[in-house]
Amino acid sequence: MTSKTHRIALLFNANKIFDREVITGIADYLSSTRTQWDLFLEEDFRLRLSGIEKWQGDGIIADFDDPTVAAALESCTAPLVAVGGSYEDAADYPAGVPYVATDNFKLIKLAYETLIEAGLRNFALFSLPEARENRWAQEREKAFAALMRRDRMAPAIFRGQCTRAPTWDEAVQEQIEWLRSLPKPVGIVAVTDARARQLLQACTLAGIAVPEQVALIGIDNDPLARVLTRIPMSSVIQGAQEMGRTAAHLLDQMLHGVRLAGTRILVPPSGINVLASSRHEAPKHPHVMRARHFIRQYACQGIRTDQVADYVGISRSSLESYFRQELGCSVHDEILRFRLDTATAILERGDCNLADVALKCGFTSSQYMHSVFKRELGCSPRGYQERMLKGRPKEQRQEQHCDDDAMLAG
Amino acid sequence: MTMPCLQVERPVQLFTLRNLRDMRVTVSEHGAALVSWWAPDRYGRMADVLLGYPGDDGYARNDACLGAVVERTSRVNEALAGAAPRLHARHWRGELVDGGAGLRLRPAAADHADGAAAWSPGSALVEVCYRLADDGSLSIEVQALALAPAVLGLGSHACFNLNGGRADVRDHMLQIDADCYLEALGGAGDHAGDGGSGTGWREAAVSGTPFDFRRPAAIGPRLRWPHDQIGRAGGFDHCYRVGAAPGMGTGGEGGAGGVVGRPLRQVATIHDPGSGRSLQVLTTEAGLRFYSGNRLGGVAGRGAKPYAPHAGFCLEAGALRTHGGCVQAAGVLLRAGEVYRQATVYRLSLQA
Repeated sequence: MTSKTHRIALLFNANKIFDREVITGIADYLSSTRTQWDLFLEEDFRLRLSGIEKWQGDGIIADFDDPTVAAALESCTAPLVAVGGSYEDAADYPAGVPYVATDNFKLIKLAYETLIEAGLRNFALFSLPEARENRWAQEREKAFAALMRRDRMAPAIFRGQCTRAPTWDEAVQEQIEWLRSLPKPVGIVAVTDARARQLLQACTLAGIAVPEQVALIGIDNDPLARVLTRIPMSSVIQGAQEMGRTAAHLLDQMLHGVRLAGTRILVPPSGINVLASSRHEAPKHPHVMRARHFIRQYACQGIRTDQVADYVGISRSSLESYFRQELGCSVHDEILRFRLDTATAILERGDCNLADVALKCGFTSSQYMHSVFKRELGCSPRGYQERMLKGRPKEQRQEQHCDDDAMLAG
Repeated sequence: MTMPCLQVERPVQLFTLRNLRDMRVTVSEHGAALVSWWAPDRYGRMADVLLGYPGDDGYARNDACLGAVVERTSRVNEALAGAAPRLHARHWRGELVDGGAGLRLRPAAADHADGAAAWSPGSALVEVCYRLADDGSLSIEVQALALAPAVLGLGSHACFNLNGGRADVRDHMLQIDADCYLEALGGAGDHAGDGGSGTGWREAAVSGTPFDFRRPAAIGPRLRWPHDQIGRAGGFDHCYRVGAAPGMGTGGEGGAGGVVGRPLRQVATIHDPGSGRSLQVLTTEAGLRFYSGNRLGGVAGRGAKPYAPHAGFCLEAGALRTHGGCVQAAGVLLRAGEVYRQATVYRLSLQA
């Protein structure tokens, strides 16, 4: 069955990771079918709306989180599928437009439950100042408040300031004050990874240990935010690609005459990337917590035990005895363990030069890294890598490459 | 149907297999059913990832075939969307093998006299072997020796919920390595024939449909994609053709194909983001039926309330007869004296 080629506009700001993933999903749907679409996308991936109502196309998929997009398409007669965030109140959805939503409630719930399972008892949400463009942030606040009420806790929500250079210092100071005011240890959900990254930075500035004092989870699993933080950051992964596939399927059906005006499909998160920032553990002695905080940040820069002791402000021998007591290992063991974790994470990602990996992870040489691998894991670094890559489905490895590409492009 | 008096020498038993990861798998002699599978989540908390009944009497009846070894071939439209399976045999006798690492079950002799349930056991000697490995793999090996010409469509109707029942399975992320599935044709009156042109199904490409799980996708939104096959079955209850691409219309085995063992290969993965549990499905078979728990509503299970639709899912592997590269029917056709072996492995692991 051959059908005519349709001209379809994708109205997204493809500089954002979420929008890019939605477009990836649309492309995935198209490549899996014989559907022929001529795609209209701005060259620089920016969103411009002038004259869109006069555009002579067959269909549109648009980001309805942006209120100007929704307004510009109000009188649009072409088949239209909206993509955006879910709303607690059904009246907030645009009327008469099929809508594919990221499930804001489930995003927050997944982050919150991960923090509960990590052993936390106090929770807070770091949001954004209210604006027309980020109604999803308010929806995430509502979801968080509802979960807190369900569990009989008072919701602690902080919006802070929006990110602007002139008020940056002031904004950071406010964040630090808020962090200090919270009962510890606390688990904080940030409405985006960008927000989580700012808070992580504020924690570092204020000397608040992550995740011992503040455990943190963001949303988006943005590779850019991950490379910009020293402590690997946990994040909820939105089902954005599936949203793209769903939106494309709906539009495809509409182009074949199916009427879908009232259709609303909520897409749950596709996963959670649990990394160090939310791996809260039972509280340890403050000296140990402080030492581990330092180790987590600098283990890969070749630190030694006496530097850790200096940072904590006690003698090397007493730090060692605290470590033996609380963790059953030496300070050096803990440093090595962190280096090993970092090295295995790099190796799992695929092709790499072992000497570079050793250097990146703070091992003095690749021979030394080799001997640590042999001792701790019973195999060589390459052997470990082969085992991990073989055991993993092809799909995931490809996605990892996509992540890297997105990182380079972003 | 009243149950015939059983000439069994001992009461029905439950068997439990364990591994070094603290997993526990319990199997009942009723229906050779998988009763429970306790496994840790991301934080080491144990939960039962199988749906089941509160007591063993539930397995004696087992109307929903939960966990049981089921049969998918008979006169009616077994491969049609929405058709429920039936128990292969009601009563089995189990014995531990391999020093307790495995459990072998054979239909109890009494079952052969049970006319209603015994639609074919008399014509083939069937045994099922469960083994739990330390890497979290539960293997289910089926072996059948035909005493007379027989058609067998055996599979395990293990009904999973990887979050242990804290929520339904609509947020599970599913991935199936299949380019085609069997689409149900026409109304309920159609019959699934053995090769005639009036079969009750048709092989259809998954591309552009909610059945396309070649990339991982959450089940819930797919249930909402507009598609008549989903509407008809109240969700997914369809057989996929998995494994090596057949190269449409060429090659393929002969009419009785599938008797010779194929290699075991991974055909599907399902992941629950909440608990971090992942289930890989490996099988020697060409068919993988994905069932999204559409008929579970009202089944009185182990929870405080009866199950709701989509409380669990099944990924049930089974044989498909092909001819000239096209699927002809579910199950294998065995000549007298022929042996058929099938292996399916469910491997539970943790992702991040």
